[in-house]
Amino acid sequence: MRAGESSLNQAVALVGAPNAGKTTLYNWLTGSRFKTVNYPGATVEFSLGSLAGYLGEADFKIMDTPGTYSLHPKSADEWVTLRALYENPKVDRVQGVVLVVDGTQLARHLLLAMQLQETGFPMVVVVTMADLLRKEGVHLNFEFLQQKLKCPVLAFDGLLAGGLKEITAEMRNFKTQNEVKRPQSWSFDQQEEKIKLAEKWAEEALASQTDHAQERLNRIVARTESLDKVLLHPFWGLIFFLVIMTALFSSVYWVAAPFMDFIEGSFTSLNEWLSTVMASSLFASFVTDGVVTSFAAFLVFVPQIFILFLGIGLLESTGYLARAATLIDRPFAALGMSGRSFVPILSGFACAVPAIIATRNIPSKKDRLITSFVIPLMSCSARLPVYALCLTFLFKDEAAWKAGVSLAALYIGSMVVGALAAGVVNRFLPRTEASIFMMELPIYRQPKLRVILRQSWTRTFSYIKRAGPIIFTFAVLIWVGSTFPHYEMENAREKLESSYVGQLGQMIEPVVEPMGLDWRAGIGLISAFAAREVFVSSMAVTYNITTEDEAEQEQGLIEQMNQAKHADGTPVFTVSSVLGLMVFFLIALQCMSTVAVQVREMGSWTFAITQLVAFNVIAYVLVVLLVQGLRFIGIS
Amino acid sequence: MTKPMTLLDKSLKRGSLVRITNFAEDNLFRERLHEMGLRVGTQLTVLGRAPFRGPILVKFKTSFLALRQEEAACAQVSPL
Repeated sequence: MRAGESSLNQAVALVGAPNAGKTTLYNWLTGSRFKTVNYPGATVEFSLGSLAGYLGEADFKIMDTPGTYSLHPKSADEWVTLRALYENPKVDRVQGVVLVVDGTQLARHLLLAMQLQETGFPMVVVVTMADLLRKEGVHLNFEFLQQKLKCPVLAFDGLLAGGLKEITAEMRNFKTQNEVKRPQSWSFDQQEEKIKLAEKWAEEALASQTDHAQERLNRIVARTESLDKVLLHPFWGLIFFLVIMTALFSSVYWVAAPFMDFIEGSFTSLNEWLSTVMASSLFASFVTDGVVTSFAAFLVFVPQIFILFLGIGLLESTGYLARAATLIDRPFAALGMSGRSFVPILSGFACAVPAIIATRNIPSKKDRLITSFVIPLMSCSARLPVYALCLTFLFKDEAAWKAGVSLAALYIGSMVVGALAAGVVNRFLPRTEASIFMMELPIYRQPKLRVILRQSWTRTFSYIKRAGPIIFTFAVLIWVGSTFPHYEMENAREKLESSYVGQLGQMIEPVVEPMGLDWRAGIGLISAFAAREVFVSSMAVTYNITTEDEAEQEQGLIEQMNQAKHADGTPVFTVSSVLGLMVFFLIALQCMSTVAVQVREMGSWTFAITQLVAFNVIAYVLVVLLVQGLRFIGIS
Repeated sequence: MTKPMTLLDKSLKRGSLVRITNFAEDNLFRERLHEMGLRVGTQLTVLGRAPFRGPILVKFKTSFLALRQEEAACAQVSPL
């Protein structure tokens, strides 16, 4: 993050309860100039962005913080908000707070306004969902609220961005700052009094300019209530849950397919073009066989990651994910987690790194630990290219549904393994504190497509940015290692066998041999520890795909796999060894980014290292048992 | 002395209207319930229960809340 450029960093913080509409406001305020989303890279996760160009220049940054109900944190997420305000490593001074409150939840959200008022931060209160209120003819008395809260109170319309100019103007007025105090916790009686007061203010603000305000508000929630009768129904709720999740995961394949074909086609053409323009040289081989081949193998599944992020974003902004968490709470609790683990685990199917960060939303330490523990077992998108390769190999000339069903089985398998792992950890881990679930079910809303599209794109892009250098490094390493020292050799196979990579591979062959694999696949497995997706690209390099005469890369690799033989002449890739390969990828923890984020989030090396060793040893032992077992009963 | 009725009480069905009379214990759950805007005197409508005897669903004013058994047990109520 490059926030430390100006001499004194000042920021205006957006604070508010979950679902209050903070992120929408943040997106409009920063336009295209926001820098980070809740994503790894800093010790405290918050988004920091510059004011959008259309709102003029400013000497302060805008900071988005995780949703919080109070300044007395109960989850890691809420701690982030408190620290972002008081001990921010990236911002020297928080010069003011924009408190975002949901106009349909006014009384409850005013509590946070009262708390913030006590701290002495200069404050502006922004009431969101103005569009919803207006539609039902509810008019808020803003002057009354201003007078009570002793700070500006403005409306914001998330759909049309009405009110943005006024909000910015007030932010510019945050100049003088009195001494800021830490939040004081309220006693039982104080809590009761404050809630009553907040309710009174909210009621007056609503009733003074609107007849039958409560009835109108009830109309806003009526649709939610009737939808929930179905979506949270003990039977139909589960059916809808299954349908929605199936739709989400299948769209990852069906919707992404044309984009993936396009990317793959483009890279193939690029390689063809490159090999015609560049003379056959060492450098040409580096560019085509090394760099382009590696990036093609990785970028091809970016559409899938994007669609998964998009789907999760859509479900979240409609309000459905809170329902999904509620539906699943009981079974998850049996495994030592909570319904709040649902969203992080779901995100784990895209990428474990943001998923582990998302566990901050889980207040109980034990729930959070178990959730983080099983997230790397979910079939993240980096495993997709490996599965795709293996399934293409197994079902090459057979009906497409067979590969589809097998893929579904792999996904379900990862959930079953995850449940088992959670169950085991749950038994051995003592519970030291109460587990909180308590979930607000937001009013169903129309998703704001613009915001979600941008958010999904940022998440996907930071994923590419993080993986890119690793992919490049390994492309170079593997290309160099497989080309030298005998780069002048004509025979590709001999060149590879005598290369550095070949020597290393032969050293580890005894380890991968019980898995039914040869040393070249072993090299692939080692490089997969940088990132799983590197497996496919390094397989492509080691099995020596020459893009000049292969029209399509994957087909080429499949051909090579079909022909690959052990020293004794038996084929390397058989039903049993390919099955074993998939099981290995299902369980093994091969992603160093995951280990790094685990260390940071859990604050413990022991946890991360134990997990790393356990998952890989278990994966290896299981695969050896599976492959040797299958061979014993006659399945080669 | 009979135990005070809580949100968990079996007599409460979908659509039952109750009022919070007290909080069972001064703990984390109580704190969270307060932060969610519930207080002594708040009227709640019981909307039902999630599958597998999961969280209890309640509505108050324009808000919807899902509460686990232990959390719901913290809210003592009387029917209206």
